[in-house]
Amino acid sequence: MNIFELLKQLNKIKPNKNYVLMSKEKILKHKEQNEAFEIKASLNPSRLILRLGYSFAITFSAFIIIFGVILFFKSFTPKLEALNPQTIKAEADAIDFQIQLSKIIYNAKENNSKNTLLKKITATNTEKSKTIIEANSTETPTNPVSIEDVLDILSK
Amino acid sequence: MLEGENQIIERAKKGESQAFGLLYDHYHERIYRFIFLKVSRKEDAEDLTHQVFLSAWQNIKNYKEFGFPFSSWLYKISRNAVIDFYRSKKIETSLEEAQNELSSDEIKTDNIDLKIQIEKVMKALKQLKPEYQDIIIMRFVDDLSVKEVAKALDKSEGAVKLMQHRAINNLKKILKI
Repeated sequence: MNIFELLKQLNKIKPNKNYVLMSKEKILKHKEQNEAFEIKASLNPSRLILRLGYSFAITFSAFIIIFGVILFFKSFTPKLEALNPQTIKAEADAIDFQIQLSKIIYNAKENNSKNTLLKKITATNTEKSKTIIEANSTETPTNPVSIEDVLDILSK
Repeated sequence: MLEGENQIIERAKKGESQAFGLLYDHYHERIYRFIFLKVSRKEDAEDLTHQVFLSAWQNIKNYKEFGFPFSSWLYKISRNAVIDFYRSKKIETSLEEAQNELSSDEIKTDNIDLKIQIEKVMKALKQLKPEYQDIIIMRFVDDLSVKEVAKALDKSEGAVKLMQHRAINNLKKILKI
């Protein structure tokens, strides 16, 4: 018989059947008993009070932390407002608005100058027309002035 | 590997004692054998096997499927239990005493010659390094694959093959085969 066959014979080592049954029963019961004990222990009033105390303490400390964080950030908000994109946009809009106003003022000035020029032109025109009318009135009615002649004079 | 082992393990993880009972029935014999060959005494082997399965049942929720059988995990627990056993008891018995304690009474056979030969092998096995003992028991007594042994011993498959070769050579030398 070679060494491997001999080693295979060790396979015949077997535990006692009674021991196996007892051990199995004990192992499976052990966990059930432990679970039952854990459930019982969790329902213990002193444990319940202790758990409640812990949960209250944790909630209270969490509340303080959150409140502290909020206060901390609030103290920084005025400084940060300058960096707010909305305020920046509003400022930019206001700048545009001022530019437009200045344009309006410029345009108004330009209009005024145009008006004065127009007034001057109309004044000269009226003067010219007056002279024409006067000239026409001095001339004899048998020699009437045509419209084309008047326009020629005006164009001059 | 037990048929439908993964499902059985999942059921056991959920606390179903019947499922763990199936795992116990399938593995207790080889775990007992492994421990018995390591500690030599029937009573100690029984106590340790009980502890191993109790520990496995209590910690089964921590067991994760990594592609190797449940047996590797059990062997791992068994190895640790044996190491703790020797550490806590501070057994300082001589090799001779240990060999004398070892008996083949657990082997159920009427063939006296075979019984003597097995006893010889068992005594020779005890003279090997603990790691070599583990490899020989797992590979040639319990028929575990190299992969399973590697997982149980936290070694690479190559290392297991090499160690197995050395262990067999050492055993042959001791037995003068």
